[in-house]
Amino acid sequence: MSDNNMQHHIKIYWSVFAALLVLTVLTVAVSYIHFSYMWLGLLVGLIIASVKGFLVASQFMHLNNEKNFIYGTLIVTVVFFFVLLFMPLFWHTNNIGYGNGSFDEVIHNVPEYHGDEGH
Amino acid sequence: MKIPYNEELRPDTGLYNAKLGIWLFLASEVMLFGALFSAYIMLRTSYEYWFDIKTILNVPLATLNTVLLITSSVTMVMSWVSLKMKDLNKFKLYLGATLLCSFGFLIVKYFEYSSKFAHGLYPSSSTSLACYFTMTGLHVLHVIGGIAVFIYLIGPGIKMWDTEPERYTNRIEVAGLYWHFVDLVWIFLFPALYLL
Repeated sequence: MSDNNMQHHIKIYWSVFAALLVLTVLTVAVSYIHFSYMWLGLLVGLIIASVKGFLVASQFMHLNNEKNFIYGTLIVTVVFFFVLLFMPLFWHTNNIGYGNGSFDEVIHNVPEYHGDEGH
Repeated sequence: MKIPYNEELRPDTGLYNAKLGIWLFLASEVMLFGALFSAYIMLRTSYEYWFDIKTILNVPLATLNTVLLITSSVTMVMSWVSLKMKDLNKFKLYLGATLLCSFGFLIVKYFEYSSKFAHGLYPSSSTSLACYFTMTGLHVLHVIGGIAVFIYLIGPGIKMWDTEPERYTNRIEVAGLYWHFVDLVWIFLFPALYLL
């Protein structure tokens, strides 16, 4: 990289730093706002954190200009990350068949256990 | 025997080896922290009564820690730029600043943890505190790991600058990638644990 190019990069790094500081203040400020819906506060918090994450990854980690091999690795990682994130949630919310009585019969008709009496 | 692709780029990946290695490592780190975030979301959404730790956590201290980590990230990238511009003194200054910020982070964390312990709040006290200590604890371990690498690079490891400056610059870039990732994790941990 030429010196001129470097100076341009340095300017970007310090601008990103300033943006991250502003967004941090915003994150804390938003947490004091009482949103009428809980999910709205969550969404706003997540959006600000994602913007900050994007700035760090794209500028500091140079992901705005990287080799395809790294992009490929990261795409696979992101896919598996979402699988990991949602897998337990699906399991957690999978209550089909529970609470609607369909299992009651099975549970109530379990034969009583009399121990090993050798018959 | 010289290890290949320390400085020159490998034709098929277009990368030097250490950079490929650190990105694969960071991919595995995404999965490690991802598992914890996933567990946190599941536990939090499934509990009928969730002990709200927001009220006992110190937001101003955590904000200070956020600022410290962000500052250390920019000084880290600036230390790499300084080496690219062959300015060793500036590099030492910036890496020193990174070290200072990361020690600052540890000190703040020490005060946070000790105030919790003083009030009898341990990981075993509640599920929410268990999540808090596990996630921030693993993050702190990463900070300590980063500090160890920085101390080596600014200490005995700096000799490499005289013999293989290109390779040394690459080492700083790779250490920086790791450090920015640690910063990235904190960016999501901070609102998830302290604010939401």
